[in-house]
Amino acid sequence: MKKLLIVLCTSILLLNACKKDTTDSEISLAYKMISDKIWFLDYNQTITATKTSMKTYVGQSTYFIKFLNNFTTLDSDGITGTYSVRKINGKLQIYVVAKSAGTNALEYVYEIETLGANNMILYYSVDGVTTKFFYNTSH
Amino acid sequence: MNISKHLLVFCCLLIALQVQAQQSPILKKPSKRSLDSAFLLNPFRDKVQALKTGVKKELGKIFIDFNNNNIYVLSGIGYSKQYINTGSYSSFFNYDLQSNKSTFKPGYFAGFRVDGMYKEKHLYSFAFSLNKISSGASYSNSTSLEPFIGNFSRFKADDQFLHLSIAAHYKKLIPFTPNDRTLFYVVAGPSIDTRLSRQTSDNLVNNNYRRFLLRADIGIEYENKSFYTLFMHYKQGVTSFTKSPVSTHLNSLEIGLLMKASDLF
Repeated sequence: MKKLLIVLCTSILLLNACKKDTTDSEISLAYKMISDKIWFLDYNQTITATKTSMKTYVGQSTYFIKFLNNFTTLDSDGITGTYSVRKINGKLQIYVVAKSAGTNALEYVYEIETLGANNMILYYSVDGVTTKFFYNTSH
Repeated sequence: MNISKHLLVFCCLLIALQVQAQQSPILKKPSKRSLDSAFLLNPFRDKVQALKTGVKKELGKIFIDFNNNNIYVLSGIGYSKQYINTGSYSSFFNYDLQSNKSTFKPGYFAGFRVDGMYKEKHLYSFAFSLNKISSGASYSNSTSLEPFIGNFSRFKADDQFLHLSIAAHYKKLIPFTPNDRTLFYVVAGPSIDTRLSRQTSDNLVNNNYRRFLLRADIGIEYENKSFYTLFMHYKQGVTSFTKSPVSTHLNSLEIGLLMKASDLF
């Protein structure tokens, strides 16, 4: 009986043993969701301590950015480069190293607020002012 | 007379020798390897043998009152749906609920079942089956970021699973017999499902799904005496299939057929 219990417990342990690191899973899922799509800017929100203002670009010619599955990116301003998704201090980020059309080197980081198959909200904060970008895959 | 007596003794001896010759085993020269292995210690083989004997002995002791056992094979179709409350679950990802189908989706299952009687009085069954579950999802709460995103959830329920299901039932005969060939039973008992399939990448993010699931199983069975049994069971999730704070109850309606294994094989 003791041996039977040992066999049962071992099987349960083995079934529960295989757990993948969740950070890796988050990053690979984020890549899967953003890559090979064109992201159109729908709204732009500026949030300060006292005021929130919003600009809409729905139905207008707007900024867009492409993230390809070979980790390269290009946008409607002619900026091209590479991108990566990373997690720092519990925040998921998109890190872009690029060059403008005039070959000036650029480096910027957007934090991901939420990411879906067809929508994403990115933001950055400088001096207490948060700027949010609402992107959609259809325009 | 004397000659015939000698002939009779000779015949008896011949028959005796022939019988002896048939009974004696054909002696084959054992191979060098088998001779060696007979003298060598084989701890693994001995342990397996000891384990088998031990298990048989223990099962014999435990299941002493379980008799009239018959083995049946079973298969059927199972409709499943998950009832989800995401609670305070948070993640970076969002999933549109507009295309979500909140219906029972069909899957299938196959396995075997041992039916018997406990203490010559109580009918029981133990079922072991592999279930390919396809499940719809009903979300009790959702979020929105109007006008940008409509109804969405931060948790996405998986819709495909492979389960090993083990169920124990108590069977009760219903005193309703339209004819002498038909028997109706009501069955109830617990069922433990073990998820064998992997989670999707959406749920690996927080390792949301549990490995084990306890469900209450209740159903009715129609036995066409000695030919087949048709059954319909409803399995209600007792424990949550997902880890806190997401609460998910997987419910299934299973319709299937049972046949005696000895009739098939």
